[in-house]
Amino acid sequence: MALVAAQNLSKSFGETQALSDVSIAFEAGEVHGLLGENGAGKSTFVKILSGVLAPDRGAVEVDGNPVRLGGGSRSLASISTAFQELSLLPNLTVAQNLLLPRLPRGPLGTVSRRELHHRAGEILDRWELEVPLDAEVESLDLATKQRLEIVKALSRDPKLLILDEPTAALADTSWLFQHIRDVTSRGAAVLYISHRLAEIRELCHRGSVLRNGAVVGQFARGDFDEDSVIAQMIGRSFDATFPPRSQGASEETALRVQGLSVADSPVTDVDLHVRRGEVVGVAALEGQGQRDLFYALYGLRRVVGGTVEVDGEPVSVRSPRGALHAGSGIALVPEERKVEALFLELSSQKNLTVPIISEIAVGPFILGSRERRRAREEAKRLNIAGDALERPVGRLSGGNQQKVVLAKTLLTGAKILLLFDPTRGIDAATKLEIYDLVRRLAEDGTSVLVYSTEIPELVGLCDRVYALYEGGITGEFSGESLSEDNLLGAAIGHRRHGESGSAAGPAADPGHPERAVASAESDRTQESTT
Amino acid sequence: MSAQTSVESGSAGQPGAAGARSEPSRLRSFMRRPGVMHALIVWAIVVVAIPASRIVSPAFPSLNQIENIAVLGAFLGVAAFGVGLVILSGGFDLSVSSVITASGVFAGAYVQNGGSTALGIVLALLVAAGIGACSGIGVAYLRIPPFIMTLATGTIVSGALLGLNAGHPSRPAPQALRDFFGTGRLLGIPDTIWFFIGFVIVAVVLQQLTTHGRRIYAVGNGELVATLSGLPVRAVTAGVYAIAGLCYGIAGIMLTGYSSGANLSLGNDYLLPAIAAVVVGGVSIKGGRGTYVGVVGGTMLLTTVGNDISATSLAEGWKQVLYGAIVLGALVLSLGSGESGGGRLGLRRRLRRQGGLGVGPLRERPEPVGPGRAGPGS
Amino acid sequence: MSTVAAPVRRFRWPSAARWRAIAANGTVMSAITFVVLLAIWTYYLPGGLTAFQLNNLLGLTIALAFAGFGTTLVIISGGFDLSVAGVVSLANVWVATKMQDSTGSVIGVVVVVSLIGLATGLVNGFLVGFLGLESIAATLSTYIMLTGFALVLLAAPGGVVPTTFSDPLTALLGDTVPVALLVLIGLALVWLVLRRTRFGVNLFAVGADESAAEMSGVRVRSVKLATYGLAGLMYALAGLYYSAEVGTGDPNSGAPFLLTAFATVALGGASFAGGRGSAIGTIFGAGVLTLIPKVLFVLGVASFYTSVVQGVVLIAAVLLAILTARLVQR
Repeated sequence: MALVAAQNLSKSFGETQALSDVSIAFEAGEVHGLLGENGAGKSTFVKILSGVLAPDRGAVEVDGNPVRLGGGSRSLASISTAFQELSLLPNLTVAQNLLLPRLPRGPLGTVSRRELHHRAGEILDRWELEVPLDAEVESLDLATKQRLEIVKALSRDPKLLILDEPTAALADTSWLFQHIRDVTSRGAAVLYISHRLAEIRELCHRGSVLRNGAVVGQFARGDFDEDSVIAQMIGRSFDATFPPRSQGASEETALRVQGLSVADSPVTDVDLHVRRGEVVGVAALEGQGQRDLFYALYGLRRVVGGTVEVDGEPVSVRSPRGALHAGSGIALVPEERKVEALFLELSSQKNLTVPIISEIAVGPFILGSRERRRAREEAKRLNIAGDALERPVGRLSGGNQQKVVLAKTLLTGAKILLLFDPTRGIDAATKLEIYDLVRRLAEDGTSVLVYSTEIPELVGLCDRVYALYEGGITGEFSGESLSEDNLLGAAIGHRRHGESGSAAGPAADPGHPERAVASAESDRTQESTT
Repeated sequence: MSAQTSVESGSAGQPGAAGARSEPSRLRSFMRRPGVMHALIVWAIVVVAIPASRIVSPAFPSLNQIENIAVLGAFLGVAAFGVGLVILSGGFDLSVSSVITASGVFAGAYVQNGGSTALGIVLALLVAAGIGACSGIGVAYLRIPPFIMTLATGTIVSGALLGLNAGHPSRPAPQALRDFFGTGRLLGIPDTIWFFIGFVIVAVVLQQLTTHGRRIYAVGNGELVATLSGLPVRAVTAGVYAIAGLCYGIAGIMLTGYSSGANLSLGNDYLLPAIAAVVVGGVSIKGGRGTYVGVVGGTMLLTTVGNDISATSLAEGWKQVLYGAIVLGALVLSLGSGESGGGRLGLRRRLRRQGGLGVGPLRERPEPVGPGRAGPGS
Repeated sequence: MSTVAAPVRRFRWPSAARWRAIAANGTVMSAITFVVLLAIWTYYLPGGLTAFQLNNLLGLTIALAFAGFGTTLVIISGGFDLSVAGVVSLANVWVATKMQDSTGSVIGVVVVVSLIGLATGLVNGFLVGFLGLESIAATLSTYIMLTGFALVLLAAPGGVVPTTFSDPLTALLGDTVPVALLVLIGLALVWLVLRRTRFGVNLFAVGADESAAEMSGVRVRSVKLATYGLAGLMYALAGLYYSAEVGTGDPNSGAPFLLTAFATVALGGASFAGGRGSAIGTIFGAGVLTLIPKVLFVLGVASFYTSVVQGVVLIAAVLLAILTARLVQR
């Protein structure tokens, strides 16, 4: 009998079926890997298992007994989770966070600080983490927060430990892997979620692949084949994904950035350029300053050094408004579409026309016919369903929402597009459409700078890719040298600017970048700890 | 696993092919627009409530009663447009009463001291809009939470009025105002009602059909999104408070004429009813959702109920109790109409779902990109 | 391998940052402001600061401090509570109309009024925590209803508050120590204990990040219920003390509290975004707010302008908090 079994879990949010009929059994002592693209349903699965969300259908059994779901994480003592988005409270101390919600009480009924620190100290010692107990979590760096989140989950001694992208901010995984082995050797199960295949391969006994909310494949340690796993994840073989590159961009430079430094960010002295009609990528691991770089170009960060030229003319972009009017226009597709890009209560049509509101108006009055026409044209170009235009954009599926974001950005008429992770959390079909769109735009003379968390995507889509590491450009790759291994090598800080060529990290296996991550990262740790 | 199958599975969740049946869905999608259903329900209740007034008095329903409700509702309705617009933009305004008073007292004092009525009214409205603009600048440019900023301007204005009007507890209304808002009639209908009809038309046009109105909706839906979409968010926000101030000013002038004079408590009874009317009318207190048509419905509903209570021998307090209950009812009603992304959720289902407490599939984590919204509830 | 490259301590507070942190601490700033104003007042006060003067000052402060205490709790939890004004009005009217001049009646009314406040708060907490209504809107509805009930009980100002009730609360112990001072100290102690309870920690957790709190196992809904309930109780106590001070009933007596309660919280340096704040800062904020008219009076400024100055001070306090917060972030 399985230690913990998820049975036929289904969950939908409005029109989006986040999870349909997912069943996975976790055996004692095993590490179960869970793979899937952004938006495949991993987070929803985790939230249901950890008791935070109630499923629409299905059950979870622990030792054969069904448990109550959706009652909050404290209702499920036997399952504990290190959440991807971290469940730490920034305004509480390390010790308080570790023992929440059952802080030890003293004789007066108040929380006993001494007992709290004693117990929290024991936990930190046991899991080999060194953090001041009374530091507010807000003051910790991201990697320490991630470790703390993991320790918090470990310390509950659960029967099932869920680790959701636990290495997103960790350079060194040996600490984590060692403790995962401790946990399984004591007979607990671990659900390990990561998009780094190398980690899955190293750690997991068995695994499942999720796509569009359903389990589409399973694998065991012996038969782990990366190509087929990737094919299962994205729903087709990898090479078929990307449209052909154009026949070389023009020589004119549309965007030139020299010596750019951004306030309160790692971004220092960045040089890059994008030619007219070129698709240029930025490859970086989490938190290397890519967001600051993109947002600075769009006027959302304070630039403290360097110059930005658009069409050969120096510009000073201080606001998104300024960016849209700089030269032929710079527009951004931001990272979080629901928080940054969409007016959720407004219809798609109104979303589309907000940036061009003065173009569809005569004086102060909006011309309904002109608005509809402009919106329809653009919707048609992006293949947005007709009746989606009239509906509040918050109720559309992720893929349609992202198309609305793109359409809205394109309607501004800007000739330089900054795309920040444009395929995050959307279905494979829409991804394909977006790749095609980007290529078509480039052929029409639009210049594109794109960042993606998926390095293969950059390799497939871009003419040229920069690697960004700790706020600086560590490599530039195009043509022959544009490979996932080269990108990864540079993205983890291996090579300095100007170099390009072959050879990547030691354990590198050409074809799929994730394989190189773990080993290369441990190299980096050796370098940086000296 | 071919590319073909994945395309199919990918688009399976999206209903309706492009361009299919646009005519029948137009009406349906209009009805589905956030706030539209709510406004319809509120108006339906108003239509039922007026004949139902017979329960409290055999003299009801009557044309006289309807006229009364419309006149009394007009003052509230004008002020509520201002509050509603501020709330729609994601803000809050506690300066309603003080600005109404300031406008009425200013106009009264100006004319009393020998100024012309027309100029007095214009200057009073400018003063009111100016006070609103001050609040707006504090909120938009100094990033003071709207709650605090409007609280402060309201307090300052009421203190200043007290000081400047020492020795003049009340200012008489200029004769022209008395004639228009007090006794004037056109085609047998009070001028106030004509004026209000005109105001509603202008207000609805401003809110629904102009670029400024659209920008207000956009800002209310998300300041960050609006900023990233290239909107001049600060100017829009400051402008909203100025327009709101202007509305309170107009209400102040109307009230001065209606009650033949302006004393220092002219606007006192309008803060809560105005906010209540806005909430009852289906404007989301979080901003970004609601219509003025709904707000006028809310105004009329509250006024009808108040009118009915006054016709009974019940204490005036019951009117307030009922107002509060209506506000609560409207809030619970709006729960049923669902949030974005969540679709329609019955109350019971929502209660059950609360285990999740709004923890969606993707936690929305707005990072402090540029100016973050610092309003109430944020 | 056991010699893991664990993260090293990286928390050295440079002293400059430390000082900026203190400057950004609302409690410290409001205490300093209070002391400065108190010094000015004392300096200009003919005959200096007597126990009588102090008692008068604290008597005016204390109701505000209770109301601000409750408001602080709700603000820390990330919400807004407008019902403070309604509860104070109803409490005041209840005392003025129902309380007889006998110990039994006094105790009875105090208990009933406290229960009214608690019940109101629990209703608010239910609406906000369990139904998921926006706190401003939900508490607006209870506020309006309570104001209505107050008007039903007492249509116009009037009624008398028995001296059996008011005298002990406004007395000077041994002609030197105001009872109000002891109550205020007690209130501060309640805060110090409260924030060290599990509930207190959970309150801060919920205010900082509701979903993270939920994921950490905090019962968010129950915490909200308790927060609003406790706040309602505090408003009732504010109404009781206010009644003892003014000695009469007025169905609109609570209205000013709507503004002043939030002003004290702002002066006390709590974050209106939730998750940060201290009721002790709020108590000093209440002191500042009551001192302003007194200082203006001794300085010879017409009393009309009191609220003008209060408004300006409120804006200044918030601006200062915003600026110092920015400094600390640097």
